Amino acid sequence: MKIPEKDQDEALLKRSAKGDEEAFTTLYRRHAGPLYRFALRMTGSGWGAEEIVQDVFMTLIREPARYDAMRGTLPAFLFGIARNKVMKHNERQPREISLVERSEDGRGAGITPRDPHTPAMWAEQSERLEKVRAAVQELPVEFRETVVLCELEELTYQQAAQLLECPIGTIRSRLHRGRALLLAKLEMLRDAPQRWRSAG
Amino acid sequence: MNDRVPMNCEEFEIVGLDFEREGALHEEGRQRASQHVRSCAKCGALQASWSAAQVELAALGAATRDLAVPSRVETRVLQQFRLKHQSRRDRRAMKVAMWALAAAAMIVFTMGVWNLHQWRQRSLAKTQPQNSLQSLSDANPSASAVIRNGGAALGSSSQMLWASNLSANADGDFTQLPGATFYGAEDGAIVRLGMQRASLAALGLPVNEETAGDWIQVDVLVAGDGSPQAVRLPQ
Repeated sequence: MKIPEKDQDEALLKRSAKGDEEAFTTLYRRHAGPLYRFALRMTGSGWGAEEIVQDVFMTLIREPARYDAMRGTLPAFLFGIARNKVMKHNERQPREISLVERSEDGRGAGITPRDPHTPAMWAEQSERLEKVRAAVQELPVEFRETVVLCELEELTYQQAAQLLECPIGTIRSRLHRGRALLLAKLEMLRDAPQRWRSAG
Repeated sequence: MNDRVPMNCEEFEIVGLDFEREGALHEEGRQRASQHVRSCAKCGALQASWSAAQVELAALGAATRDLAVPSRVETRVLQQFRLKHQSRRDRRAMKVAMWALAAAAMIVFTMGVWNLHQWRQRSLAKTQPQNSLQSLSDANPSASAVIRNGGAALGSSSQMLWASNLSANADGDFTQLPGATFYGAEDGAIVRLGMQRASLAALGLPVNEETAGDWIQVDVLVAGDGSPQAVRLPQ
């Protein structure tokens, strides 16, 4: 019989609250990835995302009793903390410019196209992705987080509603408005080179 | 015949854009949206535009999907975890040690007080007979020899019953000394002393001044703790 992930999370959290490092490591490895990507896509800053993930797990270390299983799942709880940290991060650094960050192996930690056939294509695709990322980044926070979860993380509306602790209707409405804004920005991005080419 | 109400443009914009997405719309809604997008050029263009945007978003999603948290974050978080639980363990051990230390100190203190009490009682028991006899001796130096005999008698006769001694040696009745408490103690002795009558004053007895210089024999009833309890003048 398979134990539901929610129960596993609770059991792991209880064990880690008692000092079981293995349980805590399992919890961390299970949830840190999605949290990191969410934070990275929301802040556009690798360092910021790292700090947010660290803060989320520090909260879990310091106050494990803050998680109430009756109120929702552990991922929803962690996302809730991450969202607050993202807000604080954005308030603190509203004009932060993301510098080129390097990963531990020395490569760029930014967006890398998955199938670059030629260097020119690679450069074009990379530039395009960077612009899409910037367009997403410019969305207001509440629209951005629904776009990030539903379009980039490809969660269902139900899953997004659980994580953001709001009704599905709210997700639909935010997504609708977020998409409208995003479409307008992407249209502008699409038209700009064409206009430049036609002018040239 | 299709009796479904057709979807309008406003409705399509809100809910119909991702009608192809799994779970976004129920079957009926999906069919209505599909029908609308085929019949409305404006919404068809919007749909096409959104599909293109979705491709770009999917590419962005795919490009960032494999991004993993740098291992330094895990190291830092685990370090904090260890620090917290290590310090908690240390605090708990320290608390236990402190309680154990306090309990040990309490036991040592109690034992010390009890031992001191015992030692005082023992020393009192040792010094009191000597003191009481010494006071009599000081009052009348000539009685010291008798006192020594009496002390020996006290030691040797300590096993004797006070009442039987009293009857065996009694030539008269004993007079209880002022302040003496008669317990009927089993340990005790009768000590015969030679002293001037004036020395009786030291025991709190009234003395006639005219006969104060007379030498008399006095039987002193000494209790187990060495304190004189009563005197009599043997005939």
